[in-house]
Amino acid sequence: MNSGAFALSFLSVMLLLESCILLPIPTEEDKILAGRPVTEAQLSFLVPKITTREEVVEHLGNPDIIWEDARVFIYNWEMRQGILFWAAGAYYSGGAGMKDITRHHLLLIQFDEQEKVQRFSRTTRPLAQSYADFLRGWLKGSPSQSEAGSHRME
Amino acid sequence: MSFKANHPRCRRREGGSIGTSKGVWAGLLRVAGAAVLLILAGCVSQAVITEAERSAVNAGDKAVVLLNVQCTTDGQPQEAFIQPTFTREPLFLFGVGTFETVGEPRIAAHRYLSEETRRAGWIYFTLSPGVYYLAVLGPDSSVISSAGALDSQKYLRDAPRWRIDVPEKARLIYVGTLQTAGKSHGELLFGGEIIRPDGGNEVSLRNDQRLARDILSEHFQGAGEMQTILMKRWHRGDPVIIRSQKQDSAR
Repeated sequence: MNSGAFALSFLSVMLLLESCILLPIPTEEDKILAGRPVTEAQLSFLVPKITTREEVVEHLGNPDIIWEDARVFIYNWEMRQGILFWAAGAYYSGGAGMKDITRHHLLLIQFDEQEKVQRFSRTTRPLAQSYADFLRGWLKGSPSQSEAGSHRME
Repeated sequence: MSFKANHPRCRRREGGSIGTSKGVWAGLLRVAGAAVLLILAGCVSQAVITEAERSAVNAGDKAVVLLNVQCTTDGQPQEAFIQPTFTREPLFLFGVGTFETVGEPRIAAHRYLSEETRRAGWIYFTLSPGVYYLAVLGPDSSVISSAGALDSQKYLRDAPRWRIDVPEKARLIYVGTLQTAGKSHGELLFGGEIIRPDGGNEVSLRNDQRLARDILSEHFQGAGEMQTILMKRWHRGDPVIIRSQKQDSAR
């Protein structure tokens, strides 16, 4: 039995036994689910050791989250990265629906004791990782975090 | 397996969702969630501060955060924390947002110091130093079933929220007296009153620190002076302030 036939058989058995199917469909990130996106171009004003906290608020508005003791501003937004179709059935009735699959985007800006930008990252948070763990990892500068446009004071 | 989308019990809803089994499952989950929360709320009335908690408070690792809730229904005084019965469910539930939830409230069990203080509307939480966000659900006679529903997180997220600051080494904190108002909307089949929040009245905060001091000194002798740190109203759009827990301080 080839792998395609096996997969089809497996899915059929799963459907018969569990009466449930999930089908994720990736899409372009063209739908904002929450927050206000911050583009890379909007970050051009950020210069480590020079840009002040007030200037950040002036350009980007108030942050969504302020991590007080770490001196970090966090801006959040969520984009749709896919749609999850689901269907479930049993006996004579069933149900189906769809749900957006979210990609969590963040802009994190850390300030030094003089309230000047120390470093900033425009990044995404993995779905399987809690927000608090992600923040702790970012603060430690964990190399496992995938960061797009990470900038640090040298 | 055949799926009969034209079955008479099927109906089409907006967003592409079809069928009634989703509604049946949602209903069952709602009942199960409500049952769990009802048990939780019922157990709370017997819950007293444990020795471990008392030790943590005496050591300054945690603080007793005391809150009073006053309630009226149609302008008449209403006991905020009623004993749940077959026909009456609790009117209030609370959610607490922490560093771990990045400020998003999660259902949290509140406690009473005694039967007498419960009837007077006094509750407490034991919290470590940090910043917390308290979501207040109620007065609502269906607060338990709403919080147990599939979309309970939205219910919590939309509830009025206050920021609570717990400083280091604090032991006894009074955060204020909430003044809430409800409206009666008739009775249930077995006689329980239907109460919903009175949307026309904004929940306000009052300072009854003298009463709070008397209560805390009676129940926590030797724990030191009470601090009054009134909680601050948080509105959607305000930044959420978070502070690391002691064990993972950033400094």
